[in-house]
Amino acid sequence: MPKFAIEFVPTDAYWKVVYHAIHAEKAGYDYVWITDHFNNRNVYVLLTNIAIYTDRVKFGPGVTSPYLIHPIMTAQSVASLGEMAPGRAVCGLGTGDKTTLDLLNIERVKPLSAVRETVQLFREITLGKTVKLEGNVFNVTGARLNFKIADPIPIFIGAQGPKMLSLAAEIGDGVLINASNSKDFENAMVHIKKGVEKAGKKIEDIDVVAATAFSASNDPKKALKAATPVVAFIVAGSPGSVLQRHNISIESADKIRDAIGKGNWGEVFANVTPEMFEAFSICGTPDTCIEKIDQLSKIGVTLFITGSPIGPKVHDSINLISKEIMPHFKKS
Amino acid sequence: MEDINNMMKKIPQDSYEQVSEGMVKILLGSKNADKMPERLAKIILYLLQNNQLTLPVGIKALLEASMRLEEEKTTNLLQELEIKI
Repeated sequence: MPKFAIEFVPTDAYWKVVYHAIHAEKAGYDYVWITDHFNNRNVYVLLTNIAIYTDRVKFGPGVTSPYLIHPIMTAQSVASLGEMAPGRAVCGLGTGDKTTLDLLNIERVKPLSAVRETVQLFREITLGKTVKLEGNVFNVTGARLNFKIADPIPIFIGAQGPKMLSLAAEIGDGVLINASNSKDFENAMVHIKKGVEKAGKKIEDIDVVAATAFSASNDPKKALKAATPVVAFIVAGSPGSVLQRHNISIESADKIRDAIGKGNWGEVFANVTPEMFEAFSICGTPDTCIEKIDQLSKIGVTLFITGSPIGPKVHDSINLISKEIMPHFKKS
Repeated sequence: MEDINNMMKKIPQDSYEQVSEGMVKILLGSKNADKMPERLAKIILYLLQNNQLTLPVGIKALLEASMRLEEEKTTNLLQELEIKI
């Protein structure tokens, strides 16, 4: 049975995000993820509130970048959450969003090393060890936390390219993939399997996570409208190889990128095609969403993140997902 | 703004669920999120966690917040539910 997570981008006031998180827990979600961008509300302030106001759901940053926040500080933050809510804190990490990091003039150097070293530092220090590492990216000469964590904290690693997918499967507890279409997961599973084999693990030992652009509504037009800006940004940011996989021309992506750059939202909306929604979102009525989740589940996805926009109105869509989508999988 | 305690007296108990749901939607959709008092935000989150937003204590907190953030929308909601304030 697949698990369900919800992801919030904290662009709204803290109390709205926490309200939705509590609601999601009551609606049956298994995980709440908060994205980590310096220009939104601070991820750990939100997660602390979620720790306080929820009782069951697991939660964590989804995802945090070691280029922006030192792995030891991430470990300290998530471990503190783990002390507040034993067994519920998890950590999502990834190299980070290039556009955001560019604003700070931070370059993503040696991303595979950065992720491997981050996982090593995070694991060791949260297990109570003194960590020393002379790595390719991080150099730690002897760091230790002055408090203990009862349970190991699962690490989910965001990955897109073949090498990162394999590495994430090799060293992570979960591989988190920003995609919504079966073609992307069929491709990703090849590399994920290589990673688990390298580590001597079974595929069942890790979660394969689909971080989807999700929009559910009983009115398919409203679902599409809500998803349009998100799909447009994904198209604009996708490399040529990904666009090609979905038979989307580079010219059409360029048009959208230009329109976004000019802030011409009429043009953006006019240029997002049904093929783009199909490629980059799970979007529509509950039946449509169930069909796509089913497809991904059969390929090996074990955890579904209903990510931004979630639906035309987040509150209503959480209710819809809870009442009409989750039960389909809980009974099967 | 009318006194919240007086308004509470006029809301029949059998409409608490609809009133609660309606005010939650008003609050979550409000563009005046910055007007939410810290005290009320904490109370509402605590009451939601403890399934008490349809109890009198929850209705009162939601009503106070909703009137502060969206007075017109709140009175319209109550009118639609045929509650005379």
